Amino acid sequence: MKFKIIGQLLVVIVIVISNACDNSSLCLSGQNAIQSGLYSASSDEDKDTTLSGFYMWGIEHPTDSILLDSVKVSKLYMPTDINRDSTEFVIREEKLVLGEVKGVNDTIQFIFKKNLEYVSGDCGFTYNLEIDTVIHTYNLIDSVVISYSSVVYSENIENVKIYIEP
Amino acid sequence: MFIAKILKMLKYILSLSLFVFCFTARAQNEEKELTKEEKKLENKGNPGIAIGIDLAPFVTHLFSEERFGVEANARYTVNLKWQGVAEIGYENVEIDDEKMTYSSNGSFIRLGGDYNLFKIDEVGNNDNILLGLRYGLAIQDHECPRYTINEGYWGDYVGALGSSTVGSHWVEFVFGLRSEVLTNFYMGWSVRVKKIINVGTDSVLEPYSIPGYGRRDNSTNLGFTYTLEYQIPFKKK
Repeated sequence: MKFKIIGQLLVVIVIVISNACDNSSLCLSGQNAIQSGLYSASSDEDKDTTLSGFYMWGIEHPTDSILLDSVKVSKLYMPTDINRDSTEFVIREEKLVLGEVKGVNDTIQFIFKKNLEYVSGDCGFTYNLEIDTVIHTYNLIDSVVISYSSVVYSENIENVKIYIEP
Repeated sequence: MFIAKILKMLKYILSLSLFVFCFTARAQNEEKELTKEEKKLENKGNPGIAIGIDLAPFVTHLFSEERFGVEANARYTVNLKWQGVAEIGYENVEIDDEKMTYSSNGSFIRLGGDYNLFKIDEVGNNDNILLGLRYGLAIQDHECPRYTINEGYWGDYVGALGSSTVGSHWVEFVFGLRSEVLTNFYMGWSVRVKKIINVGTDSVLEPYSIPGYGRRDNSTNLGFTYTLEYQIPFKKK
């Protein structure tokens, strides 16, 4: 009887602990992207804005591939080139004015520091980023504020606020 | 998914073994008292030193091909209650997949003791139900000649991390059964809950697997051993 009580207690302990240990890892992708929100520069408070006919592509991209092609956006996921310490994009908005397509371009450059981090045996490595500086032109963009400078694996936080000209 | 199956299997083995032992102990308690002659020979736990090997690393290799290890142990039975245990082993890890190329070679030692819960006056019955504690220490050389970070738009980043030697240590709580299947030949298994104390790192690179502990990703691991031992007795029976 003594063994039975001890045995049952141990079985429960082993099962509880083994279940607690069974945490299969889930690997995330696109973790080197800077998350940006678009805001209206005409409002005193932060107010989301949406751009239609929006295009975005990276400067010095190996194949000049376009990232966003005529889409409607209020948030941007801007993947960084981790082979370098900065990444530059062209953003463009196209509007139909009196039957004619008119576009406005801006370039925006992110300068950052990289920190290599080991995620897990299954997921390998990642680079966490620390955004240092943002440089941009002033056609479509009014201003840019770094709200959270760290781009960290598994965090889903807006890093940059981009204020759009009214 | 596989781990869940193994755990389920362990649960049934554990339950079945305990049931068998409980039944046996109960049945034997009902037997008549030992004679004077038999009392002279009453069970003192078969004191002696046993040496053995663990077959579990070979099973691990079947399901985790990247890991290959061997393990041996020495057990000193002091008396019916107490046993001192030393376990040594080696593990090699080789990974080459899209995330990284990684290799590790390391050795470990575990030191500790077991307490025998199974006390029976039957002469010649040297079976044990064991509760124990171990302290584990591992040293390994590892390197990552290539790691790849996937970036869908700009293209993958490929880097490398050089070789380093690191040490890690942990504790284990052990529950096991051990049975004398032939004179002085023992067969046994144990379930272990392992809790890491410290993982050695001297760069960004962390061990994929710590020899004797298992996958580094978990701060608590569940281990299993299946041992074959030969006991060198102190005195003739």
